[in-house]
Amino acid sequence: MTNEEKLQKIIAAYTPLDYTKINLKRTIKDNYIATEFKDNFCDDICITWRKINATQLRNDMFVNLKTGEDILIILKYIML
Amino acid sequence: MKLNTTLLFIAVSVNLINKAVGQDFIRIGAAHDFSKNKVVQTFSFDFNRTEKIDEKKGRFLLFDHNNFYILPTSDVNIGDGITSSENNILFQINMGKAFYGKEWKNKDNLRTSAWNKAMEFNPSYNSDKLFQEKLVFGQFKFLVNLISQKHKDKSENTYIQNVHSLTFGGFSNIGYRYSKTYDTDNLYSNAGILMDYKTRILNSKNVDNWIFKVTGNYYHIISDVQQLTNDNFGGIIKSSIDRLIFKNTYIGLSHKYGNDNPNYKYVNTLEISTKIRY
Repeated sequence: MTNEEKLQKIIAAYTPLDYTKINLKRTIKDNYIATEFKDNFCDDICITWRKINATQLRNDMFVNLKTGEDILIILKYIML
Repeated sequence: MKLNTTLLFIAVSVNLINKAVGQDFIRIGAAHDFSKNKVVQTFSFDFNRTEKIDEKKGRFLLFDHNNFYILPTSDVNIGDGITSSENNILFQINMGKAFYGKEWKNKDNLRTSAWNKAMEFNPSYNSDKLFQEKLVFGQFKFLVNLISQKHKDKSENTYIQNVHSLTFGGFSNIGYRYSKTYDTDNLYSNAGILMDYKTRILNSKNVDNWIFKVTGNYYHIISDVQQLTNDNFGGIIKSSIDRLIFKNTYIGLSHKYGNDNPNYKYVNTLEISTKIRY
C-alpha cells in the first residue's frame, strides 16, 4: 500500500466515505476531521509512520498541514 | 472605562508569545450583575482563553510516540466589568499522558465518535489581575472526554455539520497562597470534579454558526487563607451561546454563577456581548 492509500484510509475512518473518495487536495479540518479529533488523527498517523516527529506533527496539524498532500510531503521527507 | 497600561503591556506580550493557535478575542458587551442588581459595561481582552478546561491551546514542547506530552499554557483574561469576566491570569505547564480510544460510527455511518482519556500533573500559577492574590500549586487531573462529529451526507463534498464534546474529570490542587489583600499566606489545597460540554454547529464553509458551552466545577476547599471564604465548598458554572453574525464576529449570551478565581468572589451575571475573534 502506498503512503497515499494509507493516509486516505486513516482519514476515511472518520468519515462516511470510502477511502478512494478522500481528496488529498482538500482541507481536512472540519471537512473530514473536526478540530476536536485532531489528537486522535495525529495518533493514527504516528502509529502508522513510526519515524515521524510526533511533537512537530501535533503543533503543525491543521495549522501548517491543512491537506492530505501537506502531510504526504512530510512523510516523503522522513522516508528518505 | 479605564485600562491599566501595565496590564495592557503584559497582555500584549503574552499575546505575541501565544499567537500559534489563536482563540483570542476582544469582547464588548453589557452584563447584568444579579448580586449587585446593576448593569455594567464590559470590555475585555481574552488571550488563549481555555473556557473548555481540557482544551489545549498553545504549542507542545513535547509529544512523544507513547503519548506523553508537555504543553505550556497561559490564560490571561483582563478587562473592565468587575465580576462579569473572570479577571485572572493562569500559567500552567501541562504534563500528562493521553489515551486515545478507537473511533466508532453510528448506524447511518454519518456520525463518528471516540472516547479519550488523559492524566496530568500541572505546575501552575494563578493570580488576579492586580496580583493581590497569588497561587502557586501543583494540579493533578484526570479527564475522560467523549467527542462526536456528524457529517452532512455521503457525498464527496461532504463537510462536518456538528461536533459535540463532553468531558468529565477530577482534580486536586496542592500548593500555597500569597494574599496581599489579607497580608497573609497559607497552604492552599482543594479537590473536586469538573465537567465541560461544547457543541459547534458549522456551515459548508467550515465556519462555526453556533457555539454552545456549559462548563463547571465543584470542589472541597481543604485548606486556604481563612479570611477568604467561610464555605467548605466552591465552584462555578458558566454557560454561553454564541451566534455568528458576520466574518469573525459573534454575538453571545453568557451566564456565570459561582466563585470566581482566585479569590472565591461570588459571581452571578448574565452578559450579552459581541466577540471579535482574531
